Amino acid sequence: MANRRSKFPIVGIGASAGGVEALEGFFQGLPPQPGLGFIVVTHLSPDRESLLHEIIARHTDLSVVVAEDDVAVRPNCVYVLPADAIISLVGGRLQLRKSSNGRRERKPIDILFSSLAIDQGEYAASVVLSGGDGDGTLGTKAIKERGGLTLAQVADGHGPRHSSMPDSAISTGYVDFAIPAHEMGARLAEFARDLAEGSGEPDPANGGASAQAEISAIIRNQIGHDFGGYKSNTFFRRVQRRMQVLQVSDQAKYIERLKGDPKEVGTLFRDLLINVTNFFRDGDAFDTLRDLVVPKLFEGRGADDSVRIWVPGCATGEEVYSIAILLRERMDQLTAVPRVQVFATDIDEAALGVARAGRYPEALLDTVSPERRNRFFVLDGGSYVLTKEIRDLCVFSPHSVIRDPPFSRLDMISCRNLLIYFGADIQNQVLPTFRYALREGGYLFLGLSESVGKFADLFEAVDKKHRVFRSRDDVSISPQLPLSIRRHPGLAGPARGRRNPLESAPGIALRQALEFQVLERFAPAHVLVNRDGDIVHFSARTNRYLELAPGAPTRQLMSLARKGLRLELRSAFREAVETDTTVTRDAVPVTSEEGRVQRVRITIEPLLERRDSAPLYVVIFADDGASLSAAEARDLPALESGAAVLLERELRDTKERLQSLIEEYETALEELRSSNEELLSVNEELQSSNEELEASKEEQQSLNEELNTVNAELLVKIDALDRVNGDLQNLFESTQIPTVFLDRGMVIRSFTPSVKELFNILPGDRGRPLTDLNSRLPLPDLVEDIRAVFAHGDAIERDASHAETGRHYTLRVAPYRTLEGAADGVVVTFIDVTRLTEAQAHQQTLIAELNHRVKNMLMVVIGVAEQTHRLAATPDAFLESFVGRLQAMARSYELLSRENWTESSLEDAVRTEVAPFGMERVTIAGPPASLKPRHALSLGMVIHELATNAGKYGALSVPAGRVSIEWSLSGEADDCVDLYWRETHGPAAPAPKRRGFGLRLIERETSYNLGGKATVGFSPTGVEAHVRFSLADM
Amino acid sequence: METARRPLVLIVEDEWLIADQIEQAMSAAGYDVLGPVGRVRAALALLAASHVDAALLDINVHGERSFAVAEKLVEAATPFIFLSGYSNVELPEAFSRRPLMQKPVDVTRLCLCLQSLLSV
Repeated sequence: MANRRSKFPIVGIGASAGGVEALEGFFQGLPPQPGLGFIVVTHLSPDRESLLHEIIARHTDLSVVVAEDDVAVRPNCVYVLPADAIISLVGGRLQLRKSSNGRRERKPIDILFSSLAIDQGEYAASVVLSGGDGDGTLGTKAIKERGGLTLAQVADGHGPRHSSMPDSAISTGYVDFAIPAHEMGARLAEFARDLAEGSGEPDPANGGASAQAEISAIIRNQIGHDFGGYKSNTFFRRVQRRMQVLQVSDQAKYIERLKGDPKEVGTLFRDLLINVTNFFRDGDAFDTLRDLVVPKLFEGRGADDSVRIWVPGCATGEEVYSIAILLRERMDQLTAVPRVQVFATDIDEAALGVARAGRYPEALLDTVSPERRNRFFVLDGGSYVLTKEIRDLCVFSPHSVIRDPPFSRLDMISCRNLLIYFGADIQNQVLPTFRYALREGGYLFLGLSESVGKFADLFEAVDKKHRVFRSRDDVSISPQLPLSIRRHPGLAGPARGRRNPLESAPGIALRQALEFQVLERFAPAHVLVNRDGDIVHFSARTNRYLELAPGAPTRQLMSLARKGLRLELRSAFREAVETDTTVTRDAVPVTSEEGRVQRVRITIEPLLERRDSAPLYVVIFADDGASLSAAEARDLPALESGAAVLLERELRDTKERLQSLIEEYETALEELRSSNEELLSVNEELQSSNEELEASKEEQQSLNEELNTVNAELLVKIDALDRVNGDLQNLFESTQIPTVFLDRGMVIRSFTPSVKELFNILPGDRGRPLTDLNSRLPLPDLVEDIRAVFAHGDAIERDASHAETGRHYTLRVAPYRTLEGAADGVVVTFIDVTRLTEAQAHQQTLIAELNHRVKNMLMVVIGVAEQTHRLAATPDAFLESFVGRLQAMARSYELLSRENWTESSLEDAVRTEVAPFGMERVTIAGPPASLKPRHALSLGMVIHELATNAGKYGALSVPAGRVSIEWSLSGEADDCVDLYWRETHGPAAPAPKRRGFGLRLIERETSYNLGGKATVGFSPTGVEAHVRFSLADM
Repeated sequence: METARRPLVLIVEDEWLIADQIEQAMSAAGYDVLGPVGRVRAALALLAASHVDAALLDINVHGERSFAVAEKLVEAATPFIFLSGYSNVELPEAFSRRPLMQKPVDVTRLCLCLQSLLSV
């Protein structure tokens, strides 16, 4: 046990719809540092982030935190349940669990409260705020049962917005304070202070025992229940709680109040009676029930029969379900299972709602064995729900034992701890009703502190200790049916003694004795009956008017009346009851045992003293004249006038008809009653169907909301899809790449418009196999390729050429992958590679040409080198000529490349070669002409040789020397060139001793490459050369 | 004194410097040279006029293919060697088995090759 100083109360606060406002009110009304811990539980959607702790923190100075698992609760702290969790309390530490399968726990408040009750006992307090269902009701009960303080919100100017949750808790009668939210704080602070001061503890030194005795005496006097042997701890705790509620600080003052206030006595009595309501409460009694009664219920019943049980005052249903479980266990052993109905009734609709749900926090199930728990309960989130097979046995309906007609033909009534709340007269009414409702031999199961009392003639004990009774089948009772009677005695009047009122009447003893004697001796015979005709009191000498009827003993006046009296007596009595006045019947003939006839005057008069409670009637029999023999009696009517006789007879006939009418009426009444019962149970079935409909409606609503959300998302997606689709459409239309989408069966799924160039395809061909279409491309392997792509998933590429247009295509077959990556078809694309192919071919040609040229060039260089070398006198001379020749070639190439290897001008070719020697000594003249690249090259070489020679030995070697280069065109197309090289004023040119390479080069270059002829002459003024060639290609 | 007639070799080559080079090599190796010529037309004319023992054919002469000359040579069962500066030259099917030497020509190898052709 924790140190008493550190012990402080913990308050569980439950709220639901409209709870934020209520919580604000609650925390605003809380005094600073109240010395309590607070745990706030709300009905949250598991997938919504809660900001509740921030909201609460705005209204209080206490530290507000989101609850975490295994955290010890500290005083002046507020712990708020996070979304998606269930909270309970063990050993003063919070226990958090994730709610299962993402759904909201339906009864999180009950779960917290019940664990709080078990863990904290009288240090627990519960607060039920605004909310829309019955959560918290069971928890409130659990806290109250274990001595905690219970509060629930009631309406003030503002709130609760939804009152059904607090109302449900209040209707159980277990709520100490039903007050507005902002007033709760003060009460709770007071509660904490009282506990800290320990003022609730019984103090022997302070006369605790005598106080208990005194209070017990008050209750005993008023209610007749003795709490003298009650555990004083519990007793004082309950008394203390009442004192707190009434704001009475002193026990003596409270006792004073009890003495003057019968209502408070009743309230205290009920508080004292509160006990832990549980499944199988008083386990031994239920074991007795299981062993002794349950087997008998099913004895001799087949599948067509039914077993009917009634549990009046079922409250939140634990007793009902306990019995249903016992029955179900028995039914499991039977082969032919009769239909079982457990009618559970209560006047409290809210409690019935809790019972109907059949959902209990784990903490309230500690008396249920693990086997039963597994067999008959389903764990749903943090609470246990009864299985359908148990739930379906039970029918819940609102019903008052006192006011409404009872069920009938029942096999058992279990009415535990209900009678103790009733006064003796209600008990007197209810027990015969039970007897009536039970079939013969039916069982009655009462609470341990209850008994059948004076109705031992109606019930015999089966097990006296556990209060199991069986209806006697040897008595017949006429039921006190409340059906036609609308007036009721008060519910909880003080018990009236069963003693003779005369004995207890104070007063003048002498007069009393005198009156008594006169009455005994001289008063006419009379009986006192209640309004049902049951005799309550007999006077002396009634034997002349009444006789014991055959059959079961009865007190019914009508059954006891002697022959001849009954008819008159019945009509007179009815008249007296209905009119509430004195009724007299004269000269009613009564036949005695000896056969003598006596005329009797019957007077029925309401007993005046009893006007304020159940009415009683005095029936007085007075002889009218002397008794007559049978013969005299027969003659008697003859003495009268004829008319009187006739009237008499008519009257008798009428009375007989009346009698039969009365009987018919009673039969009809009976039928009405059973119809009413059937209607009740039909109503109950409708009720439960309605509940199911409500539940499915809620589910539908949340489903609908989800669907709406999903729908909105889908709409957005559809928009996006439309846009993407539009883009794709445009891509398809604008792309010049023919593309065909095929499915696994090679059926065309879609294609781009440009496919029409390659296939005879129409928009209507979607859905046809590709193989049906004629292709303009030779595609012999297409089908195999597509199969291969399906088989391996790798793309394949092929080249194909269009026979008609000569265009080249690269055909690419790639797998069509779904978003999940599975190959669902193929995509065939035809990429037009005509230009690429052409470019490639062109490049090939170019490379080959280049290769050729380079190699040829190298051979030419080698040749030039060899020739130059052979004729060169010295290495220097070789180098000079060789390099000069190579440079000439380079210049020609330069010229050509400048012209992009197209045609170049003849003049340029000439000028390029002579320019290094100075153009002032050279004359160039001739019509414009274009040279092919090779010609330009060759001519360049020829001019180079001539110019070099002139520079070394000829006209250009002396300052006065001049060179003239002239050409003319002839021939049909002006394509024949005659070019003349003439040197003047130079040194005389001697003919070379041997044919030099230069000369050879001129001749061969001209003949070989220009396809012409060159002649070189040597005159005294210089060299003269004539080159003749054709511009046309050879 | 030379008892045997020197074998006559036709040279078809459009670059006169190369032709000179080959001609000199052939002369030095003991062959008589017909040509050299740089035109297909000229080569065909020479063949029609005289009998040759062997031929060296540049495939590309002044933009013309020398295959017409080769055909004539095949008809006359005259051995010949193709010369080409193109590395990827494709010979027609009929000449695919004929020897082909890449330029620049190694004259020593050329002579050896010619010798083996003539000695068959």
